[in-house]
Amino acid sequence: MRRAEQITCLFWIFVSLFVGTGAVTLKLGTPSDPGPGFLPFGTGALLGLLALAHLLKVSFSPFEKDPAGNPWKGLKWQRSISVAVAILFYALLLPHLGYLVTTFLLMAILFSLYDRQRWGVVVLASFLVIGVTYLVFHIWLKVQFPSGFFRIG
Amino acid sequence: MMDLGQCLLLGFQSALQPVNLFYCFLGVLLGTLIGVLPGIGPVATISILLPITFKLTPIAAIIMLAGIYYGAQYGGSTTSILLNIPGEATSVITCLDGYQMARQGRAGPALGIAAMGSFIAGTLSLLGLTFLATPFTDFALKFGAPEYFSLMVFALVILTYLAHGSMLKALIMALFGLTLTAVGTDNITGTLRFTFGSIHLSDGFDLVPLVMGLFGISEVLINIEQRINQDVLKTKIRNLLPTGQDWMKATGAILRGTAIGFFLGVLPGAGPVISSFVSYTVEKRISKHPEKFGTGVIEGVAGPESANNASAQGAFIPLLTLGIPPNITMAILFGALMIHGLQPGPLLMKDHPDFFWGFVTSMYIGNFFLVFLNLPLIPLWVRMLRVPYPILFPMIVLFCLVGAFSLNNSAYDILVMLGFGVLGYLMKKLKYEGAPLVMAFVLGPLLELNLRRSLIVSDGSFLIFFTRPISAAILLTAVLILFLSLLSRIRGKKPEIEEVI
Repeated sequence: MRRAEQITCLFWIFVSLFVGTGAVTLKLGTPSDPGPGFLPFGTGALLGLLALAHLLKVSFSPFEKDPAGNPWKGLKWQRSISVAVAILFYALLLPHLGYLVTTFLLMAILFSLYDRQRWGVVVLASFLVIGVTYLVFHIWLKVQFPSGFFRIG
Repeated sequence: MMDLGQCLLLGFQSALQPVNLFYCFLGVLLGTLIGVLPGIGPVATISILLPITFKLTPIAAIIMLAGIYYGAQYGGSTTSILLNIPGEATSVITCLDGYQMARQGRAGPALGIAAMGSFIAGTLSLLGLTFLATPFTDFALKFGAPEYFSLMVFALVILTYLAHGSMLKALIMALFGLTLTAVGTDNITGTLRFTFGSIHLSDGFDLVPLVMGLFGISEVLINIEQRINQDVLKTKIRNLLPTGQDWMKATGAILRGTAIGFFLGVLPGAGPVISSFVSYTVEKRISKHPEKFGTGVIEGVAGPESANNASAQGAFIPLLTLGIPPNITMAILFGALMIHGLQPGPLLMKDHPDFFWGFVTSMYIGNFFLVFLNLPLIPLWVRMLRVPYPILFPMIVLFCLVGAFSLNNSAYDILVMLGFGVLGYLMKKLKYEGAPLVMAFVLGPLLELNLRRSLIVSDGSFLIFFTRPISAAILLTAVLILFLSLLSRIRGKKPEIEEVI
């Protein structure tokens, strides 16, 4: 856990440097006429200082074993990666394949993610969920879904 | 200026319109439902449903979203009592005595006192809101840019002080939230900041995909890694009405819980979770038999359940009158009000009295709905608990996706939501809290505007924040809190409230 904390602190320091240099190029202005970079520079600098303080704290304080242990140990973290990747592809494919096709594919993947389900159940559940959301969002709330290449929906 | 009677009449006229009644009912129904279901809370639900409300009138939208919030406080106790699993963080402490009561065959009185205590506390708290709204608004009208800046800094400091884990991490999150608000077009000069040439980023990040990702998607990513216990205690739920002896023991706890919850609800940062823990601690301290706490005493259910409801309703005071959200849910409601073209703050009551009082009175009605939803429908809520998570989570994901997409009819918002979802997932794993980030993100634009205005007015002197009495008092309190926190950490670790108990 200590290594993860250190990496996170370095990440925040990187963010602070990035924001700080970006703010300087935006123009800081003066206290009587603060420019667009004034507050970002301040928040970036403070962020960096606090991240540095936290880095020093975790690096030099006596090692305490985290009672919660490794936050990924004993968990099926592959599932969360699968869901994140599925959503990523959903966002990329949605404009091209349309709402109905893309959502059906996504629902089929998500419904079968936990345990092996019978394909009939997966297909039925996916159709049901898509039907309900289509009625609620498209018909009732007038949300315009993309129809994609297939011009469905 | 209308008197209070006229205001309430105006409010009920608006709240009792069929469409507003319907959305009030829908809000508290959804709130109770998600309060019952572990794995999804009011913050995630409000975030997910926020885009849907764009098609509604502002009052119907806010009535529904607020109903979800206070409805969840009622629903959370059901799972605590029957499953020993809190549906919401606010009902964690109810597990201790509520579940023991259920094991002793007294699930009915436990559920009954939780619902009735919640109703009494909610209603008393609303009375407080009704009477205090005008004085608070009058006070807030004296605020200028320096006072608002100081108040926002104070809110962020309190929120980070009361953060569950490391205060340093909470401060980092608040600063990161402020940094995120810098993305987009500068309000004063019109300069594009950190947009990297992207048209999508020129308006900055939208609140909706940000909160949906941080709370909706990240919650799903965390939950699907583990098995959620859905075993319901097999007990007959009978005699929902507590006995006279139960009432004798619980009345004091309900009233004390209401006072604690209301006071802590008004304070920025405290909120329903801390209120319930403080109420439990107080009940245990003043009890003649503190050793019996944890074995199924009714005060251990009545106090915290009243406190969390009083706190939920009290939290609307700073939001509606000062324009300062005291907790994360209020921060999202703040965003929702802004999206609907209403600026939370002292002018809300003056400029939109029909909205303000309509909303306040709708909560009285919502409290009535909740008693009728909770007590007779408990068997239905228990059945809802058996909806397996593998069935539930794809629907949550789909709601998030459709909600994000419908913002601008663009898949880009889905990608932003996913980005914040992954960030929220990592934050949870590494014990960084999302609340300070969202609070800072919501308050950031106003904070920057008021800072820059104050500096322009004072010709660049930071002393303006200390020469105006209200601003100085608020800022000095914030500095004192930071200093005391630092001092207590140098002397030893700040005990968590759960550890105190």
